[in-house]
Amino acid sequence: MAAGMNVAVVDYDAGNTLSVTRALKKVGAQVDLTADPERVAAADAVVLPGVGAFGDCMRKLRERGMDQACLETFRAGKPFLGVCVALQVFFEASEESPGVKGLGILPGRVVRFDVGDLKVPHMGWNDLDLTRSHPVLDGLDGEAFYFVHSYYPEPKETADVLGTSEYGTTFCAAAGRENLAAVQFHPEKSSLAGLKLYENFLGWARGL
Amino acid sequence: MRGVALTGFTVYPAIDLRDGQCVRLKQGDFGRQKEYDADPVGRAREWERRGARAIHVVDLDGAKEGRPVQLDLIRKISGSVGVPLQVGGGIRALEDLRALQQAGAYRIVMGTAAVLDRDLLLRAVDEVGEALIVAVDARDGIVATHGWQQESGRNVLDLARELAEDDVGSVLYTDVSRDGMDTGAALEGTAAVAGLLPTIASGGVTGARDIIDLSNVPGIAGAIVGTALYEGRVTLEELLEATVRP
Repeated sequence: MAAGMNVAVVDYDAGNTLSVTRALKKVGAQVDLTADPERVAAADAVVLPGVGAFGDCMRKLRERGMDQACLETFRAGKPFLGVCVALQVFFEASEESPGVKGLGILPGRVVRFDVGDLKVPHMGWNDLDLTRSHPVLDGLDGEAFYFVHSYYPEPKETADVLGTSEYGTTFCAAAGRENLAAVQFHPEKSSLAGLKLYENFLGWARGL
Repeated sequence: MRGVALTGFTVYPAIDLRDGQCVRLKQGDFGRQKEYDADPVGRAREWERRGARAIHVVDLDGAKEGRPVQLDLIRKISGSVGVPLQVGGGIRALEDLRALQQAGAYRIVMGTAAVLDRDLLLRAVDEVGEALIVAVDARDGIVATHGWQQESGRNVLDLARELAEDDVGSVLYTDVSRDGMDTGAALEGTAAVAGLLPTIASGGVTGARDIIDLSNVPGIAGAIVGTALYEGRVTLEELLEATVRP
């Protein structure tokens, strides 16, 4: 296990922070829940939780100077995991919040589901299909995860897509590059498969 | 879970909290309480162990007081299971939404307050987005409010249409003349609302047949089941099996 891994969870008032923190502790991480960019910089690995709207999420990150801390985490090559709307803010922009810039680490924008008779939001459990192997998603191809969202990213680079799910369309449910991985679903509420993802993240972080 | 076809339909076992215990009311009547077991945390764990993919929690103390009362217990339950909680009961202010989210609720059910106060509703949509569910309690096609003890005189479908226009993510539809009475799922009423926005059905699910019927209706995203499970008329396993398509 990843004993001694110090994982910073970015504290910016995201609704799922407590659950993300608990899941990480459950798989053996030492969690530092912090809104201090210096402590984020000192951590071995960083997790960005998130729920809610793209614009609101970016505003809260900026207010705390955590947008820069996130960019710095990526540049430093530190293992970095984003959850739910955190996946979306790694992209450049979103239909949900016109005029609000995302972190822009991944090229592409976030769009709303336009799936005919299917109702939005997409909520409930859905299968993840891996399109690329990635240490964080190891052993999770075909597993079901818990989703609640109305928007999803359209990455410009197909190489950034790690996994997809189906909801009237095939959408990007996991994305990443280099030291960054992010998922649209909530691994902290996806039972054993979700815990496995956090465990994978710690394992990956140890190896990087 | 490969090989199991998910329909996207969620069966929510219900945990009704009062004074820190699980209870189940018949037709929402506070005088007709029945107690099933004392430990909600153990109960939630048990539902998860038996395959529940989400759990519906109602803070009945909160419903009566008009503000969440069992926040600590909800935090404890959320921390004890690896599946999402959907929580309702007495939520009438934005601070309540935030507090519940911080306590680990992934979806939050607002009832009376949202029906009566559109300004609050719009701010709630702003605050928690997709996590917001508006409870629409109906008796004979008319919206009932205040923990089912009053009727509003409003037509259910008119209300559902307004909620959809206001970007409410989903509704929890309860036919209060049936809840806890096992008279069969209120399929027609639920289907009509589900044609307007994603709908979770509540009230009157007694067996696998109801789940099959509900899950075949486009727009019905799940069903809450309480009485039938607690009285042992059907098992959670049987209901979950009914959501799987070959």
